[in-house]
Amino acid sequence: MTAVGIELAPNPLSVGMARTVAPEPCAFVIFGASGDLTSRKLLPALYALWHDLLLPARFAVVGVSRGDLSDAAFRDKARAAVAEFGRVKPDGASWNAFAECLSYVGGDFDDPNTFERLGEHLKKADSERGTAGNRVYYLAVPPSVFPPLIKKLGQAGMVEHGERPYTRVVIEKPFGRDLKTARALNVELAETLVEDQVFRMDHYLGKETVQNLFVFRFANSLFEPVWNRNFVDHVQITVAEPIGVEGRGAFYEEAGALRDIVQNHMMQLLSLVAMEPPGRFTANEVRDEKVKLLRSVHIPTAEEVDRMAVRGQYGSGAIAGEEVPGYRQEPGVAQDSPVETYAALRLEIDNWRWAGVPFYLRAGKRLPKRVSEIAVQFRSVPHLPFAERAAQAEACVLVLRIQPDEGISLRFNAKVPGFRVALQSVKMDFRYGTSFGSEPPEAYERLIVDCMIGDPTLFARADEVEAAWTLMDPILAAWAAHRPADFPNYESGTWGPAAAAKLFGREARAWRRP
Amino acid sequence: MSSAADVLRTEDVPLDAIEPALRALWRSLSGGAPAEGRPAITRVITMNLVVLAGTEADAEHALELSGRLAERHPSRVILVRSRSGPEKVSAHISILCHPSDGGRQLCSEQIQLVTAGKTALRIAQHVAPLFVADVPVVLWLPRHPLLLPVDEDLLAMADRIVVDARSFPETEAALDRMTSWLESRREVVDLAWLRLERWRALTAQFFESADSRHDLDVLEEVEVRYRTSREGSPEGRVEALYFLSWLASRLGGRWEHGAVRSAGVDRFGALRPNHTRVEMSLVAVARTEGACGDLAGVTLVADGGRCRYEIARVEELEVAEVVVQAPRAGPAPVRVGFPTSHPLELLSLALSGMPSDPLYAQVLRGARALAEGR
Repeated sequence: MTAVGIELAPNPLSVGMARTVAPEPCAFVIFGASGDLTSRKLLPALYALWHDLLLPARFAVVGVSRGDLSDAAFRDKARAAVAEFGRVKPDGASWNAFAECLSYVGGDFDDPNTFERLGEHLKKADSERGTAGNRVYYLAVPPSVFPPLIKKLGQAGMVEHGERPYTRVVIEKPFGRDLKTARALNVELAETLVEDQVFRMDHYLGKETVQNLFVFRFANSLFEPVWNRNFVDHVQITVAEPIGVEGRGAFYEEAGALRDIVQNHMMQLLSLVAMEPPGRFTANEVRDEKVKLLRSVHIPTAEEVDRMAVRGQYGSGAIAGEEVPGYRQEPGVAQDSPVETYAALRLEIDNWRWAGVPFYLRAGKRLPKRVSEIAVQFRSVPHLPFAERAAQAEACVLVLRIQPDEGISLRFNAKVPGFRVALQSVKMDFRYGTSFGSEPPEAYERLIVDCMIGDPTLFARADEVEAAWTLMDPILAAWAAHRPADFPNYESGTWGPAAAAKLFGREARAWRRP
Repeated sequence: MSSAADVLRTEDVPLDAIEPALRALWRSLSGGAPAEGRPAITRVITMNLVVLAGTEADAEHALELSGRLAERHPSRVILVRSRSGPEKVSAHISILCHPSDGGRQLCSEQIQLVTAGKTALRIAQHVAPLFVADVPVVLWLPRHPLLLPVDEDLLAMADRIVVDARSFPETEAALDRMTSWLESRREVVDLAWLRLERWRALTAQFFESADSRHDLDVLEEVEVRYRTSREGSPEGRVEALYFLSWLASRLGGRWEHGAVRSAGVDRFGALRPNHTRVEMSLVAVARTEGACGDLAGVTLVADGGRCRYEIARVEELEVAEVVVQAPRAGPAPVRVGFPTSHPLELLSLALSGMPSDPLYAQVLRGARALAEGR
């Protein structure tokens, strides 16, 4: 991957290292340092990177949040978070060295003094820890805070655009709640930042299997030739989770499955599995192809929405043998909530490669198991030369598992041993956990390093976000215009509403049971 | 890496009955598993790992390590050890299982071949029929290979040879042997080279920023300190030689003169393509902590002495102190974690799916030239 905006010649000493481009010294500033995201993801990821020597020695992490906290107290909190959530647990020497990187600045994000004090603090980090003026600002705060916070940083002169020292800002989805607000957010960001300073994080893109999609498709001569309408019958993309809204009812009431999962994670998966091969593996060429693909997806009219989209909401039921309440019984949720906890779509891509191949997408909460996968179902053989009663061939299916058990499996037909010609589906399985000696890095680890080295390939670009919202807008509008009469329409612990089957129409297809 | 593994074992199997005995073990392992509510069994073999053990103690150690490795590198381990006695080859076979996500057990195999008498001279013929097809063969020599019955047939079977140059009594002999393997197109992974990963990463980090990159062009002095059993002794300097050779090769340096040795310091000169000279020295320091051969510190001086970069390992704290004295750099020493490389981690790295390392071949040749004073 090529780092954008880096003209410095490659460091000859980095050749042959685990990463050929290592991050330059920098200060990593976390706004929202007392929040859940910081504890569960950011600090564990930073520590794992530090432990594996993938961060520069001249490094600082500055937590910024409302409320006073001493550096020592912040370090204690960080240690507890890493111990609880980290892939790499804190150990004596490595942790002590990492803890020296950690410091804290308390203050209100509305208060200009906060930014003044932060500026002074960062200058001190430059002189004491040698962070060279480079900054990554990670906004682990609610999306409504992005524009004012970035504006304040701009007013304080803390986000100057330059190659060295550099300033980059990481924001996490949601990027707007529809096309209009996404565009507005992009405009507001552009008032203070240039596009190559903005790193829009979708952690799905940091997952090893998602990145492996590139390699799988474009480095194997076996698959790409059949990756088209001539051989593929249809594609199913599933993002299922057994959990409910987990105390985030108020948030979810404003989101729903379409906004929370489909618009971002699933559109990323769709674009990666269906895009054309880029000429080179550079940030802009990859993202150009993804945007091109998203723009090729047929945008439904209001009339078409009913035929290509199904929504659902979970009622009470049982997950792993335990009774669970329905969505409308969750705290913070209206008793007559129309918000969907399940969404299924049938998308069509209007290009030569995929014309006539439906892409079925479904995402939902309180489904039987946690699974994210892309299943490419190939066409059945045109003719089976075996006796009819002895043989029934299933179509071959290639499944790219994103979680859990990241890996790839291929289902094909084999002869059952014996005198008769009887066919049975068998599965070849590749698992990341068993085929390579090392554990893959967590998605956040990968993406944090990519941001620090200035490589935005695995981050969403402004036009990509808008292209995804363009597809969602007609569905959101149609659903907003018609309150669902049948909610809740699926029991917790089942694979969603029965109506989802209608997306297949009269075609001999069905949802997979992952 | 957890060391917990379930083991199923059969002892004293004749050589020609190994495969049927393994099949029987697999059948007994998987038979009725779902009905009894036990986890599903998956056989995973990603390589054939042949281990030549010189002594009983080596064999025990290698078995213990390879058992723990099975979780990360599920393999068919074929461990060969010799024993005195009448001519005979016998085998003990085991299946090791580790729990994995999704309620499965991932299982791999260990075959211990015990050779006695002249059979110890025909190891290649004993192990060849036991290889699982279509997965690589890795030959791990935990001891000094000059003491092991390593023959050409065995080497020819190996896709990769894993060795530790530290285990050789003489640095020059180690470098010679590995160079000859490389020249005969073998892929060699030296654990001594892998031990330098953190040293190299920290050194490279000095020059990641734009401010310091220029200092690489005006580097003037490099000092590498390594631990030996007594002050001034060159014993165990293979990693120090690797480090110097690596640095010189990355800077495009050409050795200008051979080693000049005085008072426990070997001095080398290198001429760079930009016609600047870099003085490099290896300093042997008496070991008070750590292992013989460990690096103790590295110092790089550039730009007329105005810029100084230093890494000093503090063994008992398992940290390194990193100091940069240069304009615009932070003056305070920064500490980074620097744990001792565990044999299991090194071996795991050596077995990982990386293709052959061209950098290592370059470094090995350079280190050999340095060792010979060329």
